[in-house]
Order: sequence, then C-alpha cells, then structure tokens
Amino acid sequence: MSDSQSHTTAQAEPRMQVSDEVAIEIRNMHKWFGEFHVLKNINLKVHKGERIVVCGPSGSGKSTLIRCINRLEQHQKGDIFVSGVELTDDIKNIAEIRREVGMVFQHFNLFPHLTVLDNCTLAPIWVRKLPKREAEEAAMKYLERVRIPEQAHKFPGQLSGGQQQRVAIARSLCMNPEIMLFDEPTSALDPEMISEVLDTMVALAESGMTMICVTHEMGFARKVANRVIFMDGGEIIEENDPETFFNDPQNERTQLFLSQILQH
Amino acid sequence: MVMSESQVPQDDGSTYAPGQHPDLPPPPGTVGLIGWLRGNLFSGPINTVATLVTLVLLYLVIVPIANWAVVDSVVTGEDRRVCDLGRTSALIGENARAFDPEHYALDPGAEGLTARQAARVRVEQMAARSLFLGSPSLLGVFLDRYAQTEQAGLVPDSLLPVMEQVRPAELAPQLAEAVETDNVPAALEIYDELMPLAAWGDSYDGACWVVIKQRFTLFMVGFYDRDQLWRPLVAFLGLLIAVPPLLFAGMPQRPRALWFSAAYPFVAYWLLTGVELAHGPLRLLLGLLVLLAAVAPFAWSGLTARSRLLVFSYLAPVLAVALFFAFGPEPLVGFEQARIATEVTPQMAEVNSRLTVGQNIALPTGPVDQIFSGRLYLLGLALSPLWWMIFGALFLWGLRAVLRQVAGQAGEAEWRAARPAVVAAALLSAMILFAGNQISQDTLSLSVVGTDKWGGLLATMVTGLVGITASLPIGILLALGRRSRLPVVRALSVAFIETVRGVPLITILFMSSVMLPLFLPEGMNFDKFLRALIGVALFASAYMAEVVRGGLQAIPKGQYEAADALGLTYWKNMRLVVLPQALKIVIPGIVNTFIGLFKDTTLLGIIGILDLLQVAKSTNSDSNWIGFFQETYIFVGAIFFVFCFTMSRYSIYLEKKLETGHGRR
Repeated sequence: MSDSQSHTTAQAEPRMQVSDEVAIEIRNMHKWFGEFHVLKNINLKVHKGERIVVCGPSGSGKSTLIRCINRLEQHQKGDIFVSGVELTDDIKNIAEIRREVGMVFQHFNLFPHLTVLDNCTLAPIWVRKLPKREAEEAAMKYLERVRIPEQAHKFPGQLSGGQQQRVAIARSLCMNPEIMLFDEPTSALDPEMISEVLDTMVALAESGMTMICVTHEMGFARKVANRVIFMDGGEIIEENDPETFFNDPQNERTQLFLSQILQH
Repeated sequence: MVMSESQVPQDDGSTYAPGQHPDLPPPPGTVGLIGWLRGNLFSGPINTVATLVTLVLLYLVIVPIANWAVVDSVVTGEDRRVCDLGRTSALIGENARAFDPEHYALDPGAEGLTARQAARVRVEQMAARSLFLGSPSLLGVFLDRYAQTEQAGLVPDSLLPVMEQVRPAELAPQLAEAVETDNVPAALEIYDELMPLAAWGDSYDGACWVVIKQRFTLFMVGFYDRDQLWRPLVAFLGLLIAVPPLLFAGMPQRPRALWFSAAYPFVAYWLLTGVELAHGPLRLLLGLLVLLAAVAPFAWSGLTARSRLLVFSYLAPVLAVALFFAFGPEPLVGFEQARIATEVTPQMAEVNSRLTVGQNIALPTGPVDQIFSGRLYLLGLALSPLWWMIFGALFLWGLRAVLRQVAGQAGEAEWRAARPAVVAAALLSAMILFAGNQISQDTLSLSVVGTDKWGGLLATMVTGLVGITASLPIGILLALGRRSRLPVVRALSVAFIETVRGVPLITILFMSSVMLPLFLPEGMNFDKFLRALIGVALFASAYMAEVVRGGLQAIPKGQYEAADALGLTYWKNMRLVVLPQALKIVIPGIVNTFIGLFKDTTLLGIIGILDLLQVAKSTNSDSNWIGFFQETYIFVGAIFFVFCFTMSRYSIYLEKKLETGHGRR
C-alpha cells in the first residue's frame, strides 16, 4: 500500500493532548511460547491520550505484545500495569482490565450469529449490566460515529470487510474503554476499504483515546501517532516521534525495514 | 477492428451504449415448472431414462402397498372374523387358479422318463393333487367362517350379492362329490362358479387393521389403569401445548406460553404417576424458602425491584400453607395423627359426594380439630364453598391493595392505612386456606399408577422425551468438560464419555436393571423404569457430548478471543457466543442423536418394559391374533417414522431459520 493517501481532513492536533497520567506500564517483561523467546525485556510506558503505532517485520512480536496488555497472552516475567491495576493470574484483575481495554482484531471477530446491534450491546448488557435500552442507545451512537447506523439490524455476514471492521471498532467503543488496542486492523481488508477504517481510527484518535496500534499504514502513523515503536526479534529496537522515526531512523534495521516498506 | 464505443451490436441487431443494456427476461423454458423439469428430470438422455425407470419402480412399489394398506384393508368388526373371511375367499381363488389339470393328469410311472424327469413330474403331480383334494375342505372352512360372521352380524354388505349369485353352500357338496369321484372337469366348472367369491376375497385380502383397533389402548399406554386413561391423554394434550413455544421463536404470546412449558414436566409427572414431586423434605424446604424470600424485602433495603417483591411477600403465607399442608395424599406436618372414627351421617354424605351414608371414616383430630373435637370438620364440609369464598375475597382484596401500591397508584396515606389490613388479609387467608384444606385434604390427589403398568407409546415417548431433554444439556456440559483446562474435569469427562460410548446400550440397560440393585443396600430400591430412563439419557449424553465437541472445535479461536477481550466470563462466553454458533453447526448431528435415541427406546423391551415394539410382539404371540405381524409391525414402524421424520424436518427448518448470511467471522 502506498503510505501517503490522505486519510483525514481534520487538523485536530490541539485536541490530541497527552496527559501525565500513566495508562499502561510494562516493566522488564518477557514471554516465551514453549522454548521460543518471543518478547525480550520489554519496557514501555504509555500515557493517557497517547497514540502509539507499533511496527516491525512479521514475527517480531508486535501482536503478542499488545495481546499481553489484555491478557489474551500470558507473560512469564516482568510486570504489566494497566490503569494502575497489575495483570496477574487474579481473574478479578483480568476482568477489570478487559472492561477498560478495547481490542480490534485483524479478522474483525464479530459474532456472526448476532446482528450488528446485538454485537455492540452484548458486552455492555452482560458485563457492564446496562439495561437493554440504554445499551442500544449507546450502541446506535457509536454506530453513527463509525458511520454505519443503517446496518444495525443486519448480520455481520452481510457486510463488507470495511464495514465489519468499523462495527468491530464500535463494538469495542460501546464498553467505554480507556484504552484501545488495534491488531493490524486493516491487513485483511481490500485496498478500497482501508481508508474508511483508517478514517474512523483517525477520528477516534482526535477524540483523545489512548491507542496502541499495530499497523503497517505509515501514512496513518505519520498523521496520528505521537510515538512509533519498531520491533524486531521480540525486542523494541527503536522508539521515537514519527517525524524523527521516518526521516531520521537511528537503527540499521529500522532503516532497512523502512526502505523496504516505503519502496513502492 | 475497433468497435465504436457506443455501438455494441446484439443478436437481434439492435445496439446499446456500454452500461445501458436493459434487463431482459430469461429465455423461455429455463424458468418455472417446465424449466425445473427440463433442468432436473430430463436434462439429458441418461437422466431422462433414470427418471422414467424411477417412475416405473415407484409405481410398482406404491400401488401394491396402497392396495394392501388402504384399498383392500379391513377395519370392520371386533375380532379377526371378517379378515379371515376375506383371506379364505381369496385363498379359494388362488388355489383354483394355481390348480393345473394337466399336472394332475401326469403319470410319474410312465415309460420313457428319465429319473430326473420322473422326479419333477411327481412333484408337479403331488402339488396339483393336494390343491385338488384340499379344495372341498377349504370351501368348508369358508362356509364355517361365513356362518360365524353371519351369526355375529358382521358380514360385509358387498359379500351378500356374491353369496346370492354363487351359492357356495350348494356348491360344496357338488365339489366334494366331484373330488371324490376324481371328476376333474366337473371340479373345474365349480371352480369357475366360485370365481366371483374369490374376486370379492381379493378385495378383502389387505391389511387387517382390526387388530390395531382392538389393541389400540395397549399400543398407546400399555397396562396403564383403564379407568385413569384421561391422565395420559391430558398429559399428551399438554405436551402439544408445551412444545411449540420451545420450538418456534416467532410464536405469538411466546413468553407467557414458556411458563407453561417450564411447568409442564412437573405437571406431567404428577399426572402420569400420581405422585407429587414436591413431597416430603423437598416440600418443607420449598416452604421455608418461600418464607425466607418473603422476609427479604423487609430485611434488605438495598434489594433491586424491592417494591415488586412486595407482591411475593404478600403471597408467601398462602404459598407456604399450600406447600406445607395442601395438595398431598397426606399432609406433610402430621396434624392428622390422631383420628376419631365416625360413621358418615346423611348430612355429611349430602355435602360430600364421595361419602356414603353409614360408611366408617376416620376424622382428623389435629390441633385445630381437637379444639372443636372434629366439629370443625363437619362445619367445614357444610361450609366448604363458603371457605373458599371468604378466602378468595380476603385474598383478592389484599392483593389489589398491594398491586395498587406497587403500581404507584396508591398514595402514601392510603397505603399506610391499608397496611395492617393487608397483613391481616395475608395471614388470615393463609389460615382459612389451612382450615379449609384440612377438609379437602385429598380432593386434589390422584391415584398412584406404578411405572410397571406404563407401556406402549406412553413408555416410548416418556423415555424418548426425557432422554432428549436430558441428553442435550448433559452432553454440552460433558463436551465443555472435555475441552476444559482443568485436568480433573477433563479426565472425568473423557472417562465417562469413552466408557459409556464403549459399551452397547443393552449392557447399560442390563446394568441398570439387574446389576444396580445388587450394589444397593438392602431395602433400597428405585423404580426400574426410572433406572432405564437414566441409562438411556446418560448413553445419549455421551454421544451428544462428542457431537457438541465437534461444533466447539469448528468455532474459530478469534471468537473466543473477541469475547474474552470484551470482558465476558467463561460461562457467558460459552452461553452467548460460542455455544449458539457451535450448536447451530451441529444441528444435523444433534438431531441424528435424538432420532437414534428415540429408536433405541425399543431396547427397553429387553429389560421387561412393554414399549411400543413389545406391544406389537406380544400381540403377535396372542393366540387370538396370530398371523397379523405385518399389520402390527407396520403400525409401530409408522409411528416411529412420524416422530423421527418430524424431528428431521424440524432440524431443517431450524437450520434455515438460523442462517445469518454467508461468511463466518
């Protein structure tokens, strides 16, 4: 994909404030898949309102890293704090963190047996215990925000990929999360649908959401991110603001990676 | 060669600009009935031949079956006489047509025959001889049976003109003489004269449904008490009301109808057995729970829907009294231990139709009764309708006040004024119910019908339905257990599934009926039918578990992760996300197991339960009905087919209904 499509029109920089409050803190974290050491000594501090883009070659541990943040993967060493709560085996903590952390997947993972609206209200009703009507009103609000309220009563199988991914974003937002994780949200989409999803994400960033986004959309990274993290071999190799990251990469491997993906 | 962009020529010579092509109707003969026939039945030479051959085969199969089962069948009479009459006349015709005079005239001792030819000739000649010599006695049998049928007044109208025309009674001695004198031509002539009778017989030679008619009750309920047949009937009608709301989501009034469905199993159990489910300690426990729940809104101010619970609190005393004292053959708390014997007086008999004058009855002398030394009983009998009126009026008045308060229609002052009276109404109506109930203690109880008397379709349906309802939830739990991360749960599930799946159902049934009692302590015994039910349900659960596991494995990992990421707990994830999808995928497998289970109920016969198939078998070995095995087995088969085919169609309907667009994920 070309990197420089204009995905947004708004110049909303002033609204994208970063606060001093720490949203996520990862300290000396390691993870193994069996014998394989996937994440090596990860240290990362994310402040409230930050938009972080994580990139790197495939197999570098990007997805695993953000999946550790809501305990879809379990780390074996080190500490992770999300909104001040430590991620341990304690189911209560995990449940609390998952309520506050939304996640959008590469393959959408919508529930195919439920309508779009039911997809969006399921967790608010059953986890947040909202009354059905309230949950539906909130869901419609978010569906409008991702610009597909008219699809509310269709099933996911009847929507295009881009629409499905926008529903997935709305579904996460319905839980009112403090943090959103995006795991390659545009990688499974047809080219013409990528921009509609990215537009939604840009709008979300402008609203001040804390976001960690694994993606190869460098245009998006330039536009929205306040920090870009480059990973390779399970380590964070380089971490910088987008301007410096793209124009003046420090590490050799970063340079190689950027030259490869920006070639075309 | 470049085509002008606005000039795309068509078959008919017209031209359209690109993007302007109109929608045209499809070519003739490709849609509608003709199109379907052409596309599906006559699409090519091989297909055409196959279609024609199939039609011929269908004709060859269906016509004889229809003739046997409907056209030539017999339904008149109370016993087999008419059937036998038809069969005998048909046999007369068959034998007459089979008789070959040339064969009869053969001589096995003739010269010039090889040994083999001689042997063949001997067989043919003997066959012809036995037909010839047997014909008078066959006609005699017919006449005997005719006389019997005539005596019973059951002769079919169509036979009378035939008898008039043929006069077999006159032909019989002639035939006997012809056979005696070996006069073949004379006998052949008589055979010809008998032909109309044979033709009539052929039209009465089909299925003898009289056997089903006569044994219908046995087929339906086995030996269920004959004076209590309304109970299985009501239970069955109730089933027809209870099942649809479970099956059809779009039914009008479904939420309300579901209450009936939920209550149905308990009602059906009570109706069929006559044993109250909530008997003994369970009743006591339920009563205490009701009282506890009634106190809750007063004790715990943070309760949600507190005001609505007020209604329950109001109902609680009456409910508790009903649970403790009412609706049982014996009251739970023994207020009736002391009884006084008395004779029924005319006044008593007048009030209670169940009593006869002079009959000795025992009057209860509970605490209440002792006070009045049994007079309350008489008073109660006399005032019986009054009891219920007072109770009903008090109760309804209080209920109205409570409902007004809950609905917010009553003002603060009105409620405060009404409150003492409402409390009094709740307690008083409970007391009146208690007193009234001492009188009508056993008016609501049914006689107990032991499961050893159950049989036929009743036994089959109870086993099938209980098996079906129990096996799905148990199977789901086992499937989840087998995929659990907890090693003990997983090991237990695997062990259960593999053990039960590894042995035949017969073994399990034998175990439950023969072996289990050996392991139970002396004197402890529970119902054989119940044990078989449990065996069948567990057996089906093991299969169900594997079917469900197949569905669980077909759900992509992303679904589990998405639900986890949204904060759903394991059970909510399973209930709301995974199982609805997994079960939908395996509907065919589930229904397959259901159908298998339903048919497996025929194995109950092996441990001595008189299921539908056993009724057929016992009918066939009944000396009155020997020889009608086709009718009984086909009847039983048809019943099974109706149930199994219905299940199969329902599964297809369900699959279509749950289809939510293509593309999983």
